[in-house]
Amino acid sequence: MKLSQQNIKLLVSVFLLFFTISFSANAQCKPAMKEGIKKLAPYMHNGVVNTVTVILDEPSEIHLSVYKGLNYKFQIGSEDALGKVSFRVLDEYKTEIYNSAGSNDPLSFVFFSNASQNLIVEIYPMEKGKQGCAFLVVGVKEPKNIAVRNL
Amino acid sequence: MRLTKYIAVFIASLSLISCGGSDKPTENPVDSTEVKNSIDTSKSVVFYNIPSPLETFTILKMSGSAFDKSVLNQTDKITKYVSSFSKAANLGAYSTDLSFCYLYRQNQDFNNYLKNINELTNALSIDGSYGQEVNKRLQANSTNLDSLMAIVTEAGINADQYLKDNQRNTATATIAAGGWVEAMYIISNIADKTQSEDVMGLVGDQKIVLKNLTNMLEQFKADEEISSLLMDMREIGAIYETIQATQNTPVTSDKDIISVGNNTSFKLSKEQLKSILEKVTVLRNKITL
Repeated sequence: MKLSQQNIKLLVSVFLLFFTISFSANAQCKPAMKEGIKKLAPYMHNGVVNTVTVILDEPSEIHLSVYKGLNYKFQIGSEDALGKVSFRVLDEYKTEIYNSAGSNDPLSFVFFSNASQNLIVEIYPMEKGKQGCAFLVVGVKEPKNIAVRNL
Repeated sequence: MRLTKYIAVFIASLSLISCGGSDKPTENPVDSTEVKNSIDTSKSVVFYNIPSPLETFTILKMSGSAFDKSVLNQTDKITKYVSSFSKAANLGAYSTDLSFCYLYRQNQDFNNYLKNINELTNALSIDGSYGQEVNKRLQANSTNLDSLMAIVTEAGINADQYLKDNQRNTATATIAAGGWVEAMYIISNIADKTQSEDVMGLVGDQKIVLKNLTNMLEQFKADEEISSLLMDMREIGAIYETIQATQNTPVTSDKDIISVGNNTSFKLSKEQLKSILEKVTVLRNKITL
């Protein structure tokens, strides 16, 4: 199928528009992310920046590794344009570990990792037709029982 | 010098930025009848991340391991890093070294690595995220570690934005890879020297980290140098494939905290550690020259 000059221009315009939206969305995430990092306390922010662009109702997945023997806090947030988000934490076999729906604190998840493992955090927009930036920040804390790595 | 220090700390956070964005089909699809709550993620946008060097060295420090300068990349090698790939990979490596010095409070070494990081950052034209105003704030808070960390984190977010805006995800992935290789070199050497069960366990844990890292790099394998890096990493991965998870006795976590995981760990034999160290040393030498 040959594309006309006009169609090519249109496609390029849509493509550029997508990037414009995507990047401006990420920029808008910064204030919310700063708040998210504050909410990690008393957990120490591990310094990792996880920003994702949620596009038109599709979930975004963040795959991340956690170490055995540490307490973790996942804090989720989003820019205003995206609206509220929900999230699920899955293990690497896609088995659900946590679902924020119905939680008292729907934007955070605290757990002890008893194994070094890869987890998947899925972030969903709660309102249809919206897109924008969402983020995950991670806090770590030594458990009181620090001998847990000596297994 | 003080400004340089803070700029470099911010760059250290560059190696921690998530990479991704490609549509990726579900890996190792499983029978939905076997796994509860299984979902279709074929339309998801996937991002990959690995633990920060700070996280890795926190575990190392918890094991009681001492600071060992001899395993760090030498600062005077910086003149060898000419290509963009070499600069990016060693920016990651030096950032890891910086994190190691930071955690062990080695101020002089910290400053030396900071200087190199600043130089490589400038050489790679990673800027636009660290204005004079931020530098002033850093100076004003130079004695307050918590404030400093908050400002540095903010600068890291700005750096993330800068790289994304400039579509330089390949550079970000290279920085992350260089940082991981350096961390692997450090912990493998310390494990080999001390034969500490905890540190050997930390090296074993890298099996799962390597999986995420290679998935991240796969997205950029069209780049010749990343493709070569991937090949070397797969060789390390092949050794890890011989290491099976060992079931441990469940441990009790802190009160009111959910315990997540299957209570397994990856225990290395001395021979497996030697093999990993050899491969990692070869790869690390390719990067640090």
